[in-house]
Amino acid sequence: MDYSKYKTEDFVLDPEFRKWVKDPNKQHNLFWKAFLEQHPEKLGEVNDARKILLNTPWELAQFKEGEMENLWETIDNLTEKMETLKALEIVPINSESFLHRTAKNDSKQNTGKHQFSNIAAILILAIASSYILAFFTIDKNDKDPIIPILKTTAAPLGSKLHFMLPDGTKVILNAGSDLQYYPNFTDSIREVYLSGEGYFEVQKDTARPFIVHSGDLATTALGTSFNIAAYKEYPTEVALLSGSVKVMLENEGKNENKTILTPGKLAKYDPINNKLITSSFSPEKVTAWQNGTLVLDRANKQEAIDRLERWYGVKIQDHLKKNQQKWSYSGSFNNQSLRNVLVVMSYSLKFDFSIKKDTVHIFN
Amino acid sequence: MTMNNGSKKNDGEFPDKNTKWESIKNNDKKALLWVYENYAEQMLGYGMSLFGDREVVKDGIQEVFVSLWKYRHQFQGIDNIKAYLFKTLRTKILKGQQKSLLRKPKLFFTETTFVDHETTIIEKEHQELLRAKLKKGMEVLPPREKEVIRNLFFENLSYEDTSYIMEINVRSVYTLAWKAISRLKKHLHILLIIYCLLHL
Repeated sequence: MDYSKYKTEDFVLDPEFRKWVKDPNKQHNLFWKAFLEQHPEKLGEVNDARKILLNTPWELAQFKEGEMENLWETIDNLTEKMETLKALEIVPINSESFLHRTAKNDSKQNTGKHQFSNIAAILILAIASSYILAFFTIDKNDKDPIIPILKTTAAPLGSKLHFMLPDGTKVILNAGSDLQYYPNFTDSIREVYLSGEGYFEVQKDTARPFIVHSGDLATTALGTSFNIAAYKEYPTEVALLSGSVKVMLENEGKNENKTILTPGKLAKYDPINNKLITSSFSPEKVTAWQNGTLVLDRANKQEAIDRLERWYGVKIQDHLKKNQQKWSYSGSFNNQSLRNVLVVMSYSLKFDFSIKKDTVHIFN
Repeated sequence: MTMNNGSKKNDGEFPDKNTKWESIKNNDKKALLWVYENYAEQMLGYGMSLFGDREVVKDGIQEVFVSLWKYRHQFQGIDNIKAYLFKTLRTKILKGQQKSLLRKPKLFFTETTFVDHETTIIEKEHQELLRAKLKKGMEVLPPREKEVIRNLFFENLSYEDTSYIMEINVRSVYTLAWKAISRLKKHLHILLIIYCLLHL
């Protein structure tokens, strides 16, 4: 390589030269020093090349706060919608629900992007064939209008409940919690209403997002497992174990109030600022209740009493003096009797107790 | 004179990018999110340098990722994600806009950055002036020339990648880059004379 014939332009375009200018090391320095000593007439050109490489301004654009997340959300929604439309190509058995679903998607499409327009043809085809299908398969059941009845499944105080939803989703309800849902999820979404605490292993179904409404939050999932604690007295928490869920506030659809969780992250509702806070959590602690382990994590007195009441299905009467109000109790009890738990707790928290039928008295 | 860039490794490329690409093919939405998180801002910078309209560029980025997902099963081996994303973004925006948009020089820089480096005291005295001059030079550079040198010097893309992104041959990449540097150089000198006259 004959650098002595190089002009400024050649130097700038030479990768070795660029390396020396941008990321100089001893070896480079020695080489170029020797070259310039041999060819001092090239100093001006080398200098210009260096100036151009080091001082050319480059336009820099950065996302503003929230901009990147919002753009992703749009992408996520569009791709989800795409999957839904793809799934719609399969003609469903219930034509009525299909038409309903189609109408819904059509109205959304108008506000959406043109890339979905080519799917319209497929939809028309599908609608036509479902009409034909409906025409040949009319029976009495099909004519009867389906009136959805909200079904409630509840775990009584003192015991947990394992059950499966009609779509195959596994649910474990903690003691004293209940779940309401429409038994046949024929619509384009699967919606349930949780009060208390529940663990969900959602059956994968890309065409029908699974939404849990709980307290102030709505959690949307496709195929995933997560835990939701939505006790009236406490801020709702959604803890994601696997997959991905979207959590948003029930009261409004502002962007700041939505978050997409990754596994190991927990979203908590902050009622004071009316927004979501995310943090990490320990999966053992969050899911312990399913294996019969009662976990108290720096619980104050009210929280500890609430938990015990629900877990064991008892009433706790508090006769403690005021100076014993401040608890911050941590402990975990695996399949222990109420008496055993109270023995352990009373020892460190220094109280006495008596159990009479379904009522516990705690006193000094 | 050499035509090959030599440095195959690009800044901003990630070691496990190929497995991410495979994961996308296997319907892993998280892998798509990963690509988005690692490249979206670079794409914004690249798009903004070309088109200057933030909303147009953002729409373009959105389209790139949506179609990436839509056609994920049809991908052949892509060895440079960054070059692929840049090319697709460029094509998407151009398709939506008039080609003339690319040729219309932008008059104002919004935010600019410089590659950090150590400078001597003398250099520092002139640095502000130098940068002002080169900024002016960049502003009046024909857009294609500007695009070429941005890809080569700022995005650290190779001649081959740049030729692929801009859909021109490698020879043209080199010629455009040469012209761009020539102009910048002239700008540097003309203004230096004016500067000297003003300060005599």
